[in-house]
Amino acid sequence: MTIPWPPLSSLIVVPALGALGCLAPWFSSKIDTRARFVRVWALGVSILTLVILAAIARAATMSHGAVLGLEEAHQWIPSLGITYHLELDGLSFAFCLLTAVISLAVIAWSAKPASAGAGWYALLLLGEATVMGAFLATDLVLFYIFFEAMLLPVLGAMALWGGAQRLNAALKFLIYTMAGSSLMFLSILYLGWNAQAMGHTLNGNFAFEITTLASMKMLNPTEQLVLGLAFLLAFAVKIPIVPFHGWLPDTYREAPHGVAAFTAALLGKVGIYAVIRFMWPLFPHFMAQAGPYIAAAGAVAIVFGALVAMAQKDLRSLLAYSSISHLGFCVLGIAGVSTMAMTGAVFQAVSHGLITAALFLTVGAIIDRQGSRDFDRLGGLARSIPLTAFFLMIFSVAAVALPLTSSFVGEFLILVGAWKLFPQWTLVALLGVVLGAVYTLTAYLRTMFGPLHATDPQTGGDIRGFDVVVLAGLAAAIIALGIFPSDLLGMISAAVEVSAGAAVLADNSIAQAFSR
Amino acid sequence: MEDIRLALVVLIPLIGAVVSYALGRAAPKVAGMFATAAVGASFAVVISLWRALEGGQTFSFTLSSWMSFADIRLPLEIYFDKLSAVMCLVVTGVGSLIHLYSIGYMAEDESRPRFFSYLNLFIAAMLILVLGKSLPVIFIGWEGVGLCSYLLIGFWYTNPEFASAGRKAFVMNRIGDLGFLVAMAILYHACGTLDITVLSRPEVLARIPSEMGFVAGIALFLAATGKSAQLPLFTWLPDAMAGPTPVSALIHAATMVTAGIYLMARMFGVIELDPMVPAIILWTAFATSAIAAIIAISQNDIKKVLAYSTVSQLGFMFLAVGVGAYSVALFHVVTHAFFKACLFMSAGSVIHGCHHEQDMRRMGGLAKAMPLTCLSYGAATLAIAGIAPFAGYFSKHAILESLAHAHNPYLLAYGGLIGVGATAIAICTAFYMTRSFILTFLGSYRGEGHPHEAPMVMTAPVMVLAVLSVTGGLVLNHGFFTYLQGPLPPVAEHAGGGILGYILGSVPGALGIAAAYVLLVIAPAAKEQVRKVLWLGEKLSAGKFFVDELLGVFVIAPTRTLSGVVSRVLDQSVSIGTGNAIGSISRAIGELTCRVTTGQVSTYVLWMFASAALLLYCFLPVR
Amino acid sequence: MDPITSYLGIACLLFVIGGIGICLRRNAIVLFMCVEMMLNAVNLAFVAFSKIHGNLDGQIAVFFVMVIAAAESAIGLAIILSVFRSVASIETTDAAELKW
Repeated sequence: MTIPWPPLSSLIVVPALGALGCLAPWFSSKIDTRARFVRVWALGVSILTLVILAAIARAATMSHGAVLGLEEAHQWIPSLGITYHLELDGLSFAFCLLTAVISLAVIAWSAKPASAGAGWYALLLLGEATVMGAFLATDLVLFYIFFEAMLLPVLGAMALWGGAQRLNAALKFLIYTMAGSSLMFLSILYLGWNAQAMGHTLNGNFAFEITTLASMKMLNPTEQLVLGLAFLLAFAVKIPIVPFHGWLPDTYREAPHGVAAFTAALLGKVGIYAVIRFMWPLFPHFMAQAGPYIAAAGAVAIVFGALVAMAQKDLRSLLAYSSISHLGFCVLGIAGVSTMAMTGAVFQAVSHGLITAALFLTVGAIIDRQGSRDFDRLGGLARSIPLTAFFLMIFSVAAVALPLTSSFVGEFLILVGAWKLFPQWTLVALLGVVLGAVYTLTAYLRTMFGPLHATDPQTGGDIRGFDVVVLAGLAAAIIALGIFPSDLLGMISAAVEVSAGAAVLADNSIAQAFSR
Repeated sequence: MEDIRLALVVLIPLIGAVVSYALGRAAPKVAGMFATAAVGASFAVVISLWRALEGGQTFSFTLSSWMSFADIRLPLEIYFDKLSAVMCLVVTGVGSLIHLYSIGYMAEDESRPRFFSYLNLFIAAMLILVLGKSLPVIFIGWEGVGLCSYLLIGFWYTNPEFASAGRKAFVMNRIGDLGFLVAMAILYHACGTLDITVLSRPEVLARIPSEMGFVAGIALFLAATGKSAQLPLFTWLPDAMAGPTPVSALIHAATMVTAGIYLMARMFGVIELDPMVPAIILWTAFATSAIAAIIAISQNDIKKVLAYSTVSQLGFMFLAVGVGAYSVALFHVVTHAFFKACLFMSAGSVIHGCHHEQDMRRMGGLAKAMPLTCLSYGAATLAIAGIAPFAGYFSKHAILESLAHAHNPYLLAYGGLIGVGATAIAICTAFYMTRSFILTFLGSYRGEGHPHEAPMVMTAPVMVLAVLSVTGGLVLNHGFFTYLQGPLPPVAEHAGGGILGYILGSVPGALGIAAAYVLLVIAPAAKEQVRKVLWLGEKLSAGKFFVDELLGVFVIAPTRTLSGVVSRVLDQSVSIGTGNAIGSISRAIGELTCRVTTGQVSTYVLWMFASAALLLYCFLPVR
Repeated sequence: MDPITSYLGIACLLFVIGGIGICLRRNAIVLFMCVEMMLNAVNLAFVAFSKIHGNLDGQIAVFFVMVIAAAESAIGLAIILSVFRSVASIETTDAAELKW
């Protein structure tokens, strides 16, 4: 369905304009009042975006049920066949919802770098706009633009307000992701050119729109292999899949807490999303062949991330590596043609976004207030900061995928779904479940339990005010998705089935052979 | 039949958990009462549901559609049949008594609201476990009780050892959970459902490929070994005694640790797919039971004795599971809940009365100071020793008898051996329990200060359980097996009756009691002789069979090393190192080419002229 | 030698002298003068070619070059002055702040 108003663009335009608004001088000339105004403005904009998304989704479910299927298309650069084409189906909706919620949470979170002013909110809103764009775009060139653009706000915020090694970390992040995506850009150009060369497009022009490209089925296996590898490299860096995670520890260690939460929760998810949205329809043959390897990479990442996390003494590094481990489940889920696993992977991605953002914010609060991020200098905090301890417990048990939290739903569907195709890798992944409990509980033990550390400065108090609302909101979302996930799962699976549908049909025989 | 009462059973303690914490913040005294009332109310609802069960009727209630989407049906549904009824009655009944007891036991602890909140949360989780209609729902409870157990073991978290004990319990349970997840994956793909009512149908189970049947059965048993503390995952249970004593009574004796037995009984169809699985269960259970019983003999901490005794008794239940006598195992679950909760709570009263002393070497002669506690501990000791007509006699005797009827192709001629061994374990049980009774209550007081009897709020529930430990077996013995014949396979009705049968059946227990009495009271000198003869046994017993050490050397240390190696070598050196190396190489090349740009205008001009000259040379048609 | 060709020869000579000057000298004023010399060498060549071809195109181009040279020297001298103000030298090697 193509809708006239409110168009999907508003999901991108509203936060983008909001970002500009943050920088406008019309708030007030006094620094203090201005800072407060900007905060309220940014909050308002991010709430508005969330409301718009909810309203659109509600209107669409009324008319289309779980499929959603909203589109918005305009000509953009006709001479090159590049269109401005957005689509909101269940897959996009899940991720857009995550984006809106996380942006709201990070903007609402009161702790921000001391020197950060209006620019902080402007960059976060810009980040929201670009990530939204990446989750909505169905034209490959448009997607690529958003895919690269979303780096800028994050890099900017990191370079401006990060830790001591922030410039190195930002540069590394930039180089890694650019190196990954440059080959993808070439592949996109090849795809567009190929469509024209094969004479499949309407007006003999290039074509970059995914449904057009996918419906042509014009790529031979060799092309699929080469192009697929190029795409996969870009997403492997972004997700990240081991061993392309070199940027991640530095980035998560150096970025300000809010930016780390934003990055960890959203940027990697674009990779997961893009594999389902673009790679499965474009390269079904390649994906079917690469499936076992991708599953293996996912399983290895789960165990690898968990093992490395076990060896960390720094809370932020531990979160970084646990992130690799948890995203390994998503990678395992998107590896095979199984609606259950793939839906689970998307759900797990959303759930991980919520949990990891919550963890980064909570841990950030601990680090800021205790002045240390090292286990050896923390301990016994449950007594001095009970509320933080309570929330950290909720998010920790969510991280280890206890049932009735959202991550259980994701991991369960992935593990059960992937068992059919890759039982050996599922078993490896299960080891990660045990190791996950080890490092998560150890981290909790070392920070919250035991005697209060003697040299602890004890300067800071518990979280309070608005921050409690933010964490309570995230906790409520995590538990609500853990108890009532079926609506979202239905939307996701409907979209996943469409997106990977061609591949499912092609390889149905394989799946049936397995089930027999 | 849908029945809202079923939801209430779970929701009341859940609400209790929240409210008792909130109320407790304001008035700590109220927390305990409210929590107890919540469990009591849940108990009342369970009774009303139980009385409504007639014939083959069952109740169910759907709380949420949960993981149902597309063609996948995994609703959050709870279900009440006779098997659930038995478990629910035990959980809420014994649970409410222990809650009542906790009011007295925790009276001086300032974190009472948190304690009662966790305790109520545990009851809710345990009820979900026994009420779950599908394996994932059971898994909710399964993990939920694990979490509560973790929180309650580490309740006094400022002691890092207690907190570590909680972590150990959680992680060891997680290893078992792997099995649960694998079993769910296999069953889902083979049968297309995880609903236990469907999975009990033979025609559905027939769809499981034979080699997968073995894996599924073993995986389920692995889950049970974690939760129910069987080899090799039992070492967390003795460590779990770090928690407050009511917790040990409720979670680590009466309810949670029996979840493994419940799971086996629920999924007996899967367990029996491959006869190899029951055989493995039987041997594991036997080994666990024997090892734990031997370790219990040399323990001096009164709670540790009871903990190892629990492990040993759980092994007994698994023996019954291994021979297919599920209702017998359940029977022992029930009687064990009575007498072990009674023992733990009496021990709690002793600890409370002796000013938090747990070492039996510094007790003694408490019979005078705390007669009621002595009476209840004594009654429960007789029950666990298997003396007729106390409760433990009936269940233990039924287990021994069902062992005699064992027919498993993989057992060959060893079935009888297990029966003999189990009798020996029964003697052993009577021995160490009598030892703990003698050390605690007889002789003269060896500790400091003045021991005192516990208050009414503690002794009353203990006495109720003591009465149940005395009469429970006699009352339930008749109807129990036939009652469970719907959800569980029938067991051969045992002869057992008659005064002569009672006397003969009590012989092993009496032997153990007599031996303990002789060695500790009548002829202490002989003790040294026995020690010399059984030196190997004593070494193993005192060293707890070195299971923790073996796990440390073969599991924990290698994992730690692996973690370090992966972190330093694979991550820092290889993955990140390669990335950094590529960066460094590029930079080096850049710096090399950078030399060309000296920053001197003249150099650039020279280059320009040289290039222009070259271009002219190449492209100007020179004639 | 053809008189017109000798004009070209002188233009060539001037151009090379200017180029060598740019390559060898560091003084910004001198560099500037060298540039002017090279521009004027080109102007001379333009005029010579204009004479050879018998049209005025070359002469017109010369006017353009002269205008641009004038503008350039105005801006360039201003830059040199401000550089001198900040680094107290007009040696090009001394004004290396922007070099990476």
